[in-house]
Amino acid sequence: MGSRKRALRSALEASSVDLLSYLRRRTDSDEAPDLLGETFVVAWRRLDDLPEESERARMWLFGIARGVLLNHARGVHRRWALADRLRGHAALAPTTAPPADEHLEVRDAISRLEQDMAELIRLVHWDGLTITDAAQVLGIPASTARGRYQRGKELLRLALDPAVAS
Amino acid sequence: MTLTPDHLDVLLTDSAPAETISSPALRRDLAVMAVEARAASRVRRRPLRVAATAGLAALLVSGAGTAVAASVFDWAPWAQDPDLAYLFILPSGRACEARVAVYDIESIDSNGAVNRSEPANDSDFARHIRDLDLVEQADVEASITEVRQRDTTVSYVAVLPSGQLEDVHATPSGPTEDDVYAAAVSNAVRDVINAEAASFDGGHDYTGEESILCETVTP
Repeated sequence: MGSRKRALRSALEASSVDLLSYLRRRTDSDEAPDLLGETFVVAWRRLDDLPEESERARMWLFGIARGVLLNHARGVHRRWALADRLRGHAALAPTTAPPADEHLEVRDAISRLEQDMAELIRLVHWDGLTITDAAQVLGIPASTARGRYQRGKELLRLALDPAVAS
Repeated sequence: MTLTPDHLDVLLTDSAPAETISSPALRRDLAVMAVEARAASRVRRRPLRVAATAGLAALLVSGAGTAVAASVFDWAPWAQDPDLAYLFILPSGRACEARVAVYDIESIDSNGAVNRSEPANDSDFARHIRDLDLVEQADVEASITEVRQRDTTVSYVAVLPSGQLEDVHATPSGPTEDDVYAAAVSNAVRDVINAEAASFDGGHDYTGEESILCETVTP
């Protein structure tokens, strides 16, 4: 069990910043540190399920973070004392500049997709995951993810450039 | 404007909200949070032994040569690859890291000077320590009680603004909560290493190095 604990520590250390980015991009950035803490707790509770291969372990953590986000949307929330400290980091300060209109338009188009399809697009284009890795996070077969991704991009192309449809 | 597939990819990627920029301090705090989370994950089965006494008191972590990689501290050469390393948070919120190395004793001369095996990390006992999670067993709360009972009229262990732990001459105000906690953590971990040595291979003599460094503060 000791090696498994060490493996989880390594996985958390390797992915914690990316997980924080992921959570900040999906929710109010002020809440992201609390959600990250909850993600860590769930990971420790599910230590026995930790995949041995490092990239799979990383996707497993993203999957847990996604579950925490879904619970958060249902109103499940815990405050972390250390989150206040994290919020003090300059890297976590809210950006003062509003996003460009073009970016808002794209984000809006993504958000109008079916929920899992939208998340697949975000995982690939925002978080840099491969479609196969994103499929693991979403808990769907890679072949399903590929089809859904292509369909999502078609819908986005239509939504963002109506001229393409004609 | 006509969207080509490549242009759409660029639009989607550029629409991402800003990523979080990593820094050593951020990574260290995330490492501490990961340890707190581990303690929190066990709360239903066993309450945190240190929480009531010390406010925020999250003990960590890592044994085997995996000292906290996010560390921003300047460690001595022996501490670059410790047998035991862990983070903890003082009651004031300052983050600290401790590193420990154990060495076998080869001989003790007539003056009591110890000759130890070199390098560290190359003994059966060191390997044994690295395979365990001794920090988890440390009873910091009991150690805090013991530290509070010490005579501090002459000197006591203090966490200096520079981040070092040092014996200082007594002051009218006495040790702070941070001083007490840092000394207690150190003692508690040393106790579990000693207990492990006592049961290792019928009783094992060892000597060790320990270094604790905390965040600096402006006095």
